[in-house]
Amino acid sequence: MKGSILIAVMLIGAPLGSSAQTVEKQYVFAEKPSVLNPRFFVGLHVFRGNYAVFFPSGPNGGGADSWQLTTGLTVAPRLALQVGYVYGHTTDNSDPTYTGTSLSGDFVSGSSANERWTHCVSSLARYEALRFFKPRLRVDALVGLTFLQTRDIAAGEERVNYQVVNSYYSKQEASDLYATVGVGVRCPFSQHLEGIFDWTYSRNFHSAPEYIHQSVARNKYGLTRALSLGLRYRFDLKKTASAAP
Amino acid sequence: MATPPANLSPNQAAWLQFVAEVERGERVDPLGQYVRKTNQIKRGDGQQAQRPKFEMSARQFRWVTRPSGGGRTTKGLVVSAATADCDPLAILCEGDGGGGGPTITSTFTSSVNQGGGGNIRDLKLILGTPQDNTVSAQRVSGAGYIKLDADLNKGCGGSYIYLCFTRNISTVLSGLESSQVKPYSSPADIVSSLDTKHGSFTSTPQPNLDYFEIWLPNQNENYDWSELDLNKGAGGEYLYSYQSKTPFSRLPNGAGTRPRAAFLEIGVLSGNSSTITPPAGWQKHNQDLNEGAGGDFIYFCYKL
Repeated sequence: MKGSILIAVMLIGAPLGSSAQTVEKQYVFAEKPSVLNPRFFVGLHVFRGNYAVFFPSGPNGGGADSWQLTTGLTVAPRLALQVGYVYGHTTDNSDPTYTGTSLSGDFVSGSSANERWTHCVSSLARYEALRFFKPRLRVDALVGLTFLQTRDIAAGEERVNYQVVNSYYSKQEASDLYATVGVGVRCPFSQHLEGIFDWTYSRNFHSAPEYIHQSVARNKYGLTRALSLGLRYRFDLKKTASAAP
Repeated sequence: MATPPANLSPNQAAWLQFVAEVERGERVDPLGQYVRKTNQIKRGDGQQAQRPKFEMSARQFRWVTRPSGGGRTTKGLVVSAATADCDPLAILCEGDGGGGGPTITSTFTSSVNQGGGGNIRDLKLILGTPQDNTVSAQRVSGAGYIKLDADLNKGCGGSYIYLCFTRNISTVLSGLESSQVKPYSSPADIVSSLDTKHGSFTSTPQPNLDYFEIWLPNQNENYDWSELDLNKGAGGEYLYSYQSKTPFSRLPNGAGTRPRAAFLEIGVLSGNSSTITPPAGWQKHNQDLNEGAGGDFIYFCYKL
């Protein structure tokens, strides 16, 4: 995952390298183009997101370190709507988890396994707030909703002299909805291709006292962070007015 | 109490002395597995330093006699790789252990006969030696917890980390698990399971749902709690520890629950091989707490 992020940073950072030393504090609020040109776009990102998940047994951390697929549409000169999907699957198996002997001399051992599936769907509005020319950057304000579904299974066995004498199994599911805000930075590489980095914070709509937020999100507001870094490709859906016959 | 192995052979006693001398900086481990205790590795640069780790079969012992002045000689132990040539500084390589086989040595530290009677009610971690008088030691020991005198970073430098326990309901310090309203997190509940998980530079793992952290009191004025990387300052894997007080196991297919045995005793086993075992009646949690950091092989143990 770290390697993927590093590669993505290098890919996006390379075109900026020459101009990074002479960054001018020159920016303007994005201007409305003369002709609206709705554009459909898709993106692939390296994603790392943490969320506060309220399982039936109590609050816990959740999220995914995975790839994010995004798609969206430019619906206004400075406004785009974007939907993202992340699938996460982690396993943690240990066999034997423990070994030892009973007082009667029997060999005892046990195994444990934990598996978690995460589906994360985010629906964000991207408002282009700033446009830099040197280097070429677009800064977006992000706001929207995130839906997270998590399924967690824990299982294990207890053995005496290699014979299973007990087994256990626990399955819990949680579905949570979050308010999400953040900042996105886009760097156009060509007419169609952009590098994109999003930094968002999410808060679960599930109300909880401050100490719960402290213990799960490590801050008293219950905010959890998600980062994504990747590439976005824009398609032309219709001709601009000037290009039309 | 710390229980050194009974009937120590000369090689075993010399091995323990060798480790102690390396930790004090008086000797150097030629294999680089053991380092002086003042050796600290900072995690901040994102690097995860890994030290080599060897079973005893990778080493050999040689007793050597060297002049120590005044016409006298001293006998010492040379520890080297199994394939190393004879120490050129050695005056005499004696027969005892000369190229001898590995000597597995372990030390077991347990709660037996400590802290009164009854089951183990709670576990906490502390950082630092008693001489350091750290905040965590003041709070945990001051509350009545008993410290197991076994450094969880033995042999690999880093911070001094100790496991503490209490059997007394009135002394249990409620960590964040009680404010999370986690089931079976009251002082009256009894520890019934241990777990460890790997983290990374950028993420701390989350415990399984029936578990919560073995907390370290942090440095804040009020009672706040932190997770503690069990290899803090020592490099290696990022390892975090958890306890569960759930008194039952859930059976497959929703077939109800089965009672889970509670911990009668807790212990720490350390030694120079992954094959070391605790005494009869004890169970070893099969995760080396020094994974990737060199030093001793260290394991949590418990008795049901």
